[in-house]
Amino acid sequence: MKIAFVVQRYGKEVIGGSELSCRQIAERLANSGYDCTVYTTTAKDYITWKNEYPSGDTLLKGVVIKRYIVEKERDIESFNKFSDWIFFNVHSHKDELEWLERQGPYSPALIEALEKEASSHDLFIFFTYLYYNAYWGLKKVKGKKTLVPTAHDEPPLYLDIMKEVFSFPQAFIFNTESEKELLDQQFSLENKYQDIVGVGVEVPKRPETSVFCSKYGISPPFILCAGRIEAGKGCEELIDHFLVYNRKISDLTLVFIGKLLMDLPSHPKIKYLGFLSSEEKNAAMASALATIHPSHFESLCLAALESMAVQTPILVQEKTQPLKQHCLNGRGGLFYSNYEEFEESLNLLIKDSKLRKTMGENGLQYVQEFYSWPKIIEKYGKLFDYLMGLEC
Amino acid sequence: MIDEERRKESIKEEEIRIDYENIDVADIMEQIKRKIAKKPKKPLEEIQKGELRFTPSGHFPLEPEEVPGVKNKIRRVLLKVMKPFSPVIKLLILPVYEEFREAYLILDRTNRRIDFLSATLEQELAKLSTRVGDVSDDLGKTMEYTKLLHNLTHNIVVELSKLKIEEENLKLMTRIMKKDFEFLRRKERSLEKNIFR
Repeated sequence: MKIAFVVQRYGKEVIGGSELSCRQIAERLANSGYDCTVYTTTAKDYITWKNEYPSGDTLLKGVVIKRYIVEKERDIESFNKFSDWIFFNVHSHKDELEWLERQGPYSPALIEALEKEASSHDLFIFFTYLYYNAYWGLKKVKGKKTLVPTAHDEPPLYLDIMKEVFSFPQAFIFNTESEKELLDQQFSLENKYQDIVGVGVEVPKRPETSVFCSKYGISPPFILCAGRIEAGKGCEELIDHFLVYNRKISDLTLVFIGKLLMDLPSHPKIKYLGFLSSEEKNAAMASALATIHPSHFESLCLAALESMAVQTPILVQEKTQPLKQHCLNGRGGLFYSNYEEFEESLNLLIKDSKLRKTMGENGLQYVQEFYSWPKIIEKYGKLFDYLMGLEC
Repeated sequence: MIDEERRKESIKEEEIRIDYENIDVADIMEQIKRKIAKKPKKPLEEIQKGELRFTPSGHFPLEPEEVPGVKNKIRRVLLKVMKPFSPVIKLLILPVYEEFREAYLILDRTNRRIDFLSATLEQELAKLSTRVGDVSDDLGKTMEYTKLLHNLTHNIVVELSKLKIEEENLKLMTRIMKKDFEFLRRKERSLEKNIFR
């Protein structure tokens, strides 16, 4: 079976929940015998969409990648201004299309290729509803289409063009129950195939925690925040909370790993270790007392699942429904919505080692039950069976 | 004093209870929220007492602190020399001191007012957010109701359309039957004519 994926960025170096999910799923499906092709752009950076990869066809872990040039780089400041205007003012359909063009990645060549080559694939899977390639790709491709929206409650979801985006596909794959509920409320998805799948998480063999601590000179106890370090991901709020907390309990360190996109305060108890390999990331997570996930906008949060897979409890932002669901359903972490709750929850996790241990075990069980790769591939298989039975 | 002890005891009692065999995160969070709500908030006066160097008697600490060593000696000598002129110096400094003290008191009062207002604002915001929550709930219900009404209207329109089609069909059948009867009557007459001839 020939499956085509459409995603805004793709590659080993690309960090980002949705893009990573797409890559992992494409690679796993290719490994299971499916013929997978990825249509994407030459961009590596999601802020500017600067062309960094060469255009053309390449092969990565059994997946054919077709990259197309982005014609316009994104000017994030003017885009943000335009977004602020469009989200809160009366505007026309034309304005929304302009917003989409400014949002990017603006690659007409990619859309043209999709339209031309649509017949050579049995079905298309689009990742992320938010971008230029999703709207125009879904509109132009004739055939069997699935959308993995990776959506959360954010202003673009309420634009009128999104109604079109969600009307094109015949099937939807959601990351979490709360994402499904949100989109079901917003759009009419009845009579369309829907499933909650997410992505798989590899459960690593005992990460070497002592080696990690000595290599990076970190003395436990510490809490860890992994992923993109930026204000938009709630890191600023986390630092504010931690600085207040540190005045009361001064022996705890806050460690950041991942891509740094903001300034961190120079504080002896706040450390940034850079971008780590997956083995080191697992070791860091396993050594931490708890991992913190402060983002207000997440549709799945792979880092939280990875933390649960190494039996480390999570402490998450309550307002982010998918994260809260992981805590409640997985019984592997706590949540907070203000400083007082942050302090109390963290205190409880630090002081109660039995709770940490039990939550760790629960987390692992949750990941194995719902986010193991064989389960994910099985669910995609069911989707393909459904789509192949459809007449288009 | 007794109240304070009771309060401390109740906080101790507010230890979070966890069933480790079957962890219920929602319950733990509920207990945490309850614990936070029960925690006594620092009274405004206490916070200000701790933060302000200003004493309740209104004495402002203009006296410099004792510095040991040579400097202290020089200071003492200077103070001795200036002692005869101290009434004049005090008289000169007094208006400035008074003004300074008054400004300090105003600032203190303003700070208290700001703290009070910000606390009130916080309470009002909390109330407002509850109200917004209620309103959004109502809105949700209304939306649901509107959706149902919409469905109902849609169904009624569909049913009426079916009835209309049915009516048209029946009319058509009546017309056909009328014609048939007409034909039969004519046939009957012609047969009668033939028979009676």
